[in-house]
Amino acid sequence: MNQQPHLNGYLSPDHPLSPRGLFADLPAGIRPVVTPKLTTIWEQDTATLPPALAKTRRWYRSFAERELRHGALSIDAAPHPEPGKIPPSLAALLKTAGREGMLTDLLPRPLGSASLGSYRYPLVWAQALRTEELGRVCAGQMLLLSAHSLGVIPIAFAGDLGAMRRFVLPAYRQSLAGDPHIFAFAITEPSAGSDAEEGHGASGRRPGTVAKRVDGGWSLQGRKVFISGGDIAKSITVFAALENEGIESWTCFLVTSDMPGFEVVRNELKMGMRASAAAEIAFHDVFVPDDHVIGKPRQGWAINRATLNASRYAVAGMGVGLAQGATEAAIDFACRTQLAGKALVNFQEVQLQIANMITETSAIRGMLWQAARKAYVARQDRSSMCKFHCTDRAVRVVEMALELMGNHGTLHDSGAEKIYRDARLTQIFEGTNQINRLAVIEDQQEQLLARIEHN
Amino acid sequence: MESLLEKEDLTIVLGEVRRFARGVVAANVERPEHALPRPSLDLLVAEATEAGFIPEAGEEPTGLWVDLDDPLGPTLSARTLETLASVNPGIAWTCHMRAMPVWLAQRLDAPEVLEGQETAVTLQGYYGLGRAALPRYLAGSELGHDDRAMLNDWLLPAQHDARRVVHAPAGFEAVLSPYFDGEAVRWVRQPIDALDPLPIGPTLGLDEVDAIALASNDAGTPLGPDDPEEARKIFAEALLIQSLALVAVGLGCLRHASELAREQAKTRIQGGRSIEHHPAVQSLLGSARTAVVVVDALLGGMAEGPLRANRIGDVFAARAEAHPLLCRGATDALQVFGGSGYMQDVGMEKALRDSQQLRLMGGTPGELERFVAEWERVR
Ligand SMILES: Cc1cc2nc3c(=O)[nH]c(=O)nc-3n(C[C@H](O)[C@H](O)[C@H](O)COP(=O)(O)OP(=O)(O)OC[C@H]3O[C@@H](n4cnc5c(N)ncnc54)[C@H](O)[C@@H]3O)c2cc1C
Repeated sequence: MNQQPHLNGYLSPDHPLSPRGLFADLPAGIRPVVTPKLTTIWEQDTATLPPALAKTRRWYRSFAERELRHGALSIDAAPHPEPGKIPPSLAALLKTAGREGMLTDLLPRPLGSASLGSYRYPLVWAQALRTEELGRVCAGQMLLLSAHSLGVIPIAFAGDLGAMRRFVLPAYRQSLAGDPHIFAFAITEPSAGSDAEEGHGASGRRPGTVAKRVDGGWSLQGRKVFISGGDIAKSITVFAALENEGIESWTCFLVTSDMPGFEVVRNELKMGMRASAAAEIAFHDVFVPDDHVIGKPRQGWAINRATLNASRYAVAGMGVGLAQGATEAAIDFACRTQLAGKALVNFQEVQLQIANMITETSAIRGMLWQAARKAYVARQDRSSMCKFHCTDRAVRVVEMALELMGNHGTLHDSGAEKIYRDARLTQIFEGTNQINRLAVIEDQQEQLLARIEHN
Repeated sequence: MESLLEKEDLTIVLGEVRRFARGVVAANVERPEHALPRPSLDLLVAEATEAGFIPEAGEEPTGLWVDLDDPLGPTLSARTLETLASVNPGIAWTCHMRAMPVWLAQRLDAPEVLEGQETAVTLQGYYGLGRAALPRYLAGSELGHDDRAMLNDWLLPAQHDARRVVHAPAGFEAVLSPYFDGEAVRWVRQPIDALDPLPIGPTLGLDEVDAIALASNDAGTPLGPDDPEEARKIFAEALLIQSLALVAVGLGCLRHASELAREQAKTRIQGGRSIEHHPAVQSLLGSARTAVVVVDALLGGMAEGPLRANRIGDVFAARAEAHPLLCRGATDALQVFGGSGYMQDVGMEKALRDSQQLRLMGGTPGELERFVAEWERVR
């Protein structure tokens, strides 16, 4: 006889055949080994992290719940702002995020806001936890707060301490003081998207953004498109070729939005992640002084590729967060919705779908953490594998959530359709998932060539 | 049954539909980022009615879902919708929704339901597809208590806060919905004001169509034949028509998206050549085109006339297969565009949203598959 409540098709935990009760009768030495604690998967996973990262993960989650949850749907539904007209709610979010250290966590305290403890582990791991937790609640606001880090990473990878001191530290101080200083990262051009991410394509391309040598610096001419946060950024790491040279001459320039000739042309009308604008920006003979060159001239391609290798872990994290958010929305729906007098979660087909979603999400999280845990060196093959696989599977999980919710899932209020529109982006940016597959092979090239020779 | 329609008739009518879609509709929907304003939608629907594509109440209605006893009738209607959807799926769905009440009024022998308020038909139960109870009911099996409770709650949820979602042309004033009276599915027409309507704002797709959440009650005169067998057939036929419409609109949508992707692949140069030469892009294009070809064949089978209630298992099976394919094709077609595919002014993201919306309306693929399994068991 079932005593305690139970779902249809299951024994209650106090049933004589339920493992819960039976395990309690096993010898004391065995009991702890076979009897897991009744905790959520989130708590179980968090417990596997080093304590400093577990604490960081909790911080990201509480920040997301407190600051992102309430505006997620309304910001998504609002019309896209014109360049330079950030809605007051997002301006307030940026201020709070700045003050609480959410815009400065690439550097440890006291320079930034990352805990020294978390700094002992690969930075990409903490960043992947961040995009997961923020993306779980609202991927649009997550992108608004995180594309900024992408703009800073090139400065770090240039190994240019002077540039860090000149540009990043003052900006971080500003943000921490409640005056958010946002960075953006600009590689994509109208005629070079994948070609800006992949060497074979880049090798034959005529660059669209060009830097001409002038007295005391460089004059930038050209356009970049789809730049996340390009409309609000005060500082942008812009990659441009030197005059009359190819992309191998790419150089990273720190352009500030107050430089004469810099223009935000327009914000795109996006399918999802709408809290963050993708801007087209133009450079009309923008004078960039020599001390705004990040690293050395012609190091841009290397800096770009290193940046992408690091940041693709974070995109994989977005996928995990979106899958998690969709799974939770579906579970919530299945527990709240009654059909013929029963909560949906009692139906076996619903249980199967939930099990699939939880498992797929756990699997991609496991893949990502496994790779990120060792990513003291951000390997291209690992980061690209994580990027394309986690985001492809995440979109599949979101589709499962929509399927479970049926036509209720199509309603904006359900949150699920927004997650779908948001998730679709992760398969496109930071290199399409096709380009990321090619990146895996590029990194295996020597080994593959050796095998050809061997045969 | 002998066909009154000839193959050439189909060619002629579909040619007219194509001209209307490309000539008249297309000019109104050049900007995919803007949902068509209501007055323009009304005007287009009026023109489609005038052109004879949407039936009107009257002596000799013509157009969608009119000649369903003719072997070629369902095909003509499905391909009409497909053709309209290849220009704009929301407008095609609106035309279908305008035609449904005319078909149902005639089938229920209740012409009065077309008088007065603008009426929409909804088949969307509260959640899902009535689980195993629906196939049992439609196959004429003995129904148990649980089956009756399920059918009743699916169509007329007992909880006062449970609402059915109706996707219908903007401005409809009354709704014609099915309910289960313990023996058979009957119909009732109610003004939406009596159903505590809650407008829902935007939905995932079909931007041109309104979504509204309605409470349920069975107040009103039951419509439909007394004969439970005939009532069963009518409900099955309504579900069949809806399935044809959903797949036809989805197919039109993907046909267009797939063509746009091919054009894009020709002109976009990355990796040193136009991207149509990259195997990665060929896979995407091939996937979208394969989905078109396969769903075209599925729709051909689904629409074989005359419309017969006992084909519901096969039609649901085909629909269960069609929608995932259509969504896969749409997402792959979008991917060919890279970042610009994500932008509303290009139209690919709309095609993807519309495809997903159609997958989730009127029973999801998983629900359709479970229907098929039970239908096969009991029929
Ligand atoms: C919302 C959004 C935000 C973005 N944010 C930023 C940002 O902050 N900064 C920034 O610099 N960029 C940003 N991007 C740009 C993004 O990284 C590019 O869109 C992406 O790399 C794809 O490039 P593309 O759009 O030009 O597509 P294309 O390169 O034109 O690709 C089109 C198709 O061709 C395929 N393809 C291309 N080349 C090859 C090849 N050699 N072999 C096989 N297949 C190929 C692609 O996989 C794709 O399917 C953003 C994009 C979006 C949509």
